[in-house]
Amino acid sequence: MPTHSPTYSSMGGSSESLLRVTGLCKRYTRGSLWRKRVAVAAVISADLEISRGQTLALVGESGSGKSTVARCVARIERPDAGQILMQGTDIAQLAVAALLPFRCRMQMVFQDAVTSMNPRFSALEVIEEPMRIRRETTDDRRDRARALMIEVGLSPDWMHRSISNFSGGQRQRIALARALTMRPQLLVLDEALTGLDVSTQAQIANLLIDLQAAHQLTYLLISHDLALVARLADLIGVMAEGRIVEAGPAQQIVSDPKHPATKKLLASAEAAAAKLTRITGASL
Amino acid sequence: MVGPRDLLRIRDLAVTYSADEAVPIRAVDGVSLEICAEEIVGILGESGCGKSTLAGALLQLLAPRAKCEGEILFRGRDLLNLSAAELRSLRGRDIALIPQDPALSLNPLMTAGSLIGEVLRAHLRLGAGQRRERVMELLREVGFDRPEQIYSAYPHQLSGGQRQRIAIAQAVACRPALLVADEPTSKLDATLQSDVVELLSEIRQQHGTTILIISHDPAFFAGFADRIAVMYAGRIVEVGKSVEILGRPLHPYTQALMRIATSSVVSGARADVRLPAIAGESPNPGSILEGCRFEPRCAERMQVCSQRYPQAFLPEPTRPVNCFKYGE
Amino acid sequence: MSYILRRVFRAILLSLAVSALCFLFTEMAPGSFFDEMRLNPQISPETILALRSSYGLDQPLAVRYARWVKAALHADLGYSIAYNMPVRPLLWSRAKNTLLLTISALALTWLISVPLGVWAANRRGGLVDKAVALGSSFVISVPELVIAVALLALVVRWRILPVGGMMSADSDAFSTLAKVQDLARHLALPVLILALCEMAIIVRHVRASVLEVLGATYVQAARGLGVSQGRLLFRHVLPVAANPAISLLGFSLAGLLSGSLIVEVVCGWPGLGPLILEATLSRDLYLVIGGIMFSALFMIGGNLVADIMLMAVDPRIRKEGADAR
Repeated sequence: MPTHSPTYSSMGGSSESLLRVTGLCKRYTRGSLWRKRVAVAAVISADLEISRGQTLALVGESGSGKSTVARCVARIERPDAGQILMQGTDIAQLAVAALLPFRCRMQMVFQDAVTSMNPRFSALEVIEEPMRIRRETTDDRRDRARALMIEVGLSPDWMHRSISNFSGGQRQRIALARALTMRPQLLVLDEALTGLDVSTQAQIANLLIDLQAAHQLTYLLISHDLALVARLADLIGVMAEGRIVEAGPAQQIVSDPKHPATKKLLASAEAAAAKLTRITGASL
Repeated sequence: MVGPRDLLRIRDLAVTYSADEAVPIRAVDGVSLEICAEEIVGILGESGCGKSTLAGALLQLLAPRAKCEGEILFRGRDLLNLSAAELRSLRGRDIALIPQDPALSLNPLMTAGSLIGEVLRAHLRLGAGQRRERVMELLREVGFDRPEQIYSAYPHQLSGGQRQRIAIAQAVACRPALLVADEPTSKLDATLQSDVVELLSEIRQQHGTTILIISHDPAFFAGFADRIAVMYAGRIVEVGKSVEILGRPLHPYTQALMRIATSSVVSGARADVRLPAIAGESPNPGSILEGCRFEPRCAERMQVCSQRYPQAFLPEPTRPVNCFKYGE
Repeated sequence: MSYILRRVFRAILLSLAVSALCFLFTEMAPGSFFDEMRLNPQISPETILALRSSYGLDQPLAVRYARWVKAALHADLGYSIAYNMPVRPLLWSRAKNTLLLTISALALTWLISVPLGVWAANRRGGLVDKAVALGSSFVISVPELVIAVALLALVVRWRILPVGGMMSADSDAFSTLAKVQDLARHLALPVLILALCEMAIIVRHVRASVLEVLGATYVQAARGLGVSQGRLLFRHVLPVAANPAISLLGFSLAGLLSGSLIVEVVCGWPGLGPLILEATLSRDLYLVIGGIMFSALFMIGGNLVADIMLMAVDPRIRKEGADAR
């Protein structure tokens, strides 16, 4: 099965390439010294390219490998093969120490804000954590945290409130603030909008759009919801069973799907939409 | 709409959590609702509005520090006044809950067969052989082609969709009159949503089961629910037929929700990317507000909205709306 | 099956490592059996040297170790210099007594702790729960030695039980039934002390484990479906709560075997503990090593038993083992 690589050139843009992944492969092996190693291939081969300021969405069902791709790109896991070119440098196999300068350039936001943050920490502590690691002064940290909270739509008066007292949507805002402390260029959003209420999801989606415009951010968005992603993404890559089976500009994928996996995702999204339009009579 | 076919009548239900803080939290603040037999009623609301607490209150499954007031009449009996033994026999047999997260609601050390068998054991007197038969039947009913394989499978060997079907099988095992499903698809892939909806519709069709279904997503109810009650900050703000609530919402909150829902459809133009979100947050359950709870976020608010709580007006018969737009 | 084999293999490797370390440390400890003899001017250095070489103590460390391992594989653990007899039978006779003591204590501990812990967790904040919390705190904070001596004093003063040794002096004349009774009465005090100290810890763990599982979503879901509290506890909660408890059982067993030393010494129970103590004090090399190895083997064995039990109880571990193939 040929792999597809969504590239910015099909968009006719000419901005610099921020992230370029080729031949990414990640296997999880089970076994040890005297047991045959059995490999479960989470990602068989993935290629993608995103330019500065663009949003690329990877969609697919559970188990298709999209989260693994995200984790490899953010170097939370180390890929078994392939290149991950971040502004020209291959970070796929870099050692931890060499990765440090790159860590600031890309940040990850997870789905479940509940489990990605210590519920006993205050909002301030969560946001300033990355700054602590870089040893900035207390005042600098506080000021920056304050500014970030305002930017993500939270009142800075809540700085000392503990995480467990925030709602799901608010926690995602805090997660975004934390991600922004390092002034990253790339944000990897691993199902960051999944599991949120319809109204909260809309708010966070708008926030993402605003932040992207304000900071020239690039997004790698992972989701299983094609409908949501079709609005936010410039490029879409559809993953199934460890490969990117179809890729291209968002509008193209959505109006003219070719691969069965894409059609399946689209069908369920359209079915839901059709049910609504039958009732609301809204024209689209 | 009080009639002889009423299955469930909730009157002025209030659930208060008396936490350590001075201000008690009223998660559910005066909810009244009637559900007829064989109906599918949806409760639409965002997280924190009290919908899950409402579901928990029906079966008295809330934390011990939650105090319930009001009345919940199920077939004439007040569920808030039942003894522990009566409640236990009611749960699973007359009213059954389908929990939200199938990954967490199945005992990891029990096979699918034993999990369903436990419900049968709790309520019916069946021999081991009969129980097994019945479990197989139920597995087939919820859509498993090879029930024998699933029977001896453990939850960690099953996918999310399969687990949810096991949970549904558990809930319908004793053919309860009322099924309460709390966001049954929110933890599943979008592609599985229609499967669950179809399954529940079929259950209603075949067995005349009444279903109370809870969700934050209006699209979920389309073509499925008969009536919808919209909840906001612990109160019901609008009730009506599903097609009307979704197609012609009257309350500003419902209207705003529908604007978001109809905009998030696939072929939306990229140019108009921002979604029509509702500004602000839903109020903290602990805060006490005098007037309408939605007022701070409402685009159409008036002076009176912050002064008094709007009672249920009837701009149309059988469409109560708690909003001053429709009356004084 | 492969899971068990892997565990057994690991156990063997561990035993070897322990034996090597054992050897090394006893070697590094200052002094040897013959030091006292050396101080005696009447014994000539040549005699000492001859004695040493006859026990093989003049060989380099590695050689001695190799020889020891080879012999150990043939179940020969060397010779005790102090007792002037082979180590293995000496150790084994004592080890049997320790095993009897520890296993009885273990059984008693768990037979009481589990129901008690479950009760305390089930009625959280109730009378039993508070009593358990208070009692266990007290017992944990008092050193085992103090408890042992206190109970000993009580027993002696009130003459409830015989104290010292395994059997009464004239026990040979007893009938079998009377012998068993006599053994039981001698066993009672040390078992009671061991069990009491262990129970205080175990009951808290059981309670915590059960409480945690009681709060799990799947238990709430089962309750919501009408499962009775009793069934819930024993069919839904305990098997899951057993998981950490079984690991604890392994440690418990292991710990009791090596930790019974104080109790054995205080109560005069002829077990492994007092023997090893004596041997260490007198630098009886092979006895020390043999004793420690026995102790280590018990500990490793205890953990192995726990691993196997865990596998039997938790299907997720069985799957993990199967997947690795």
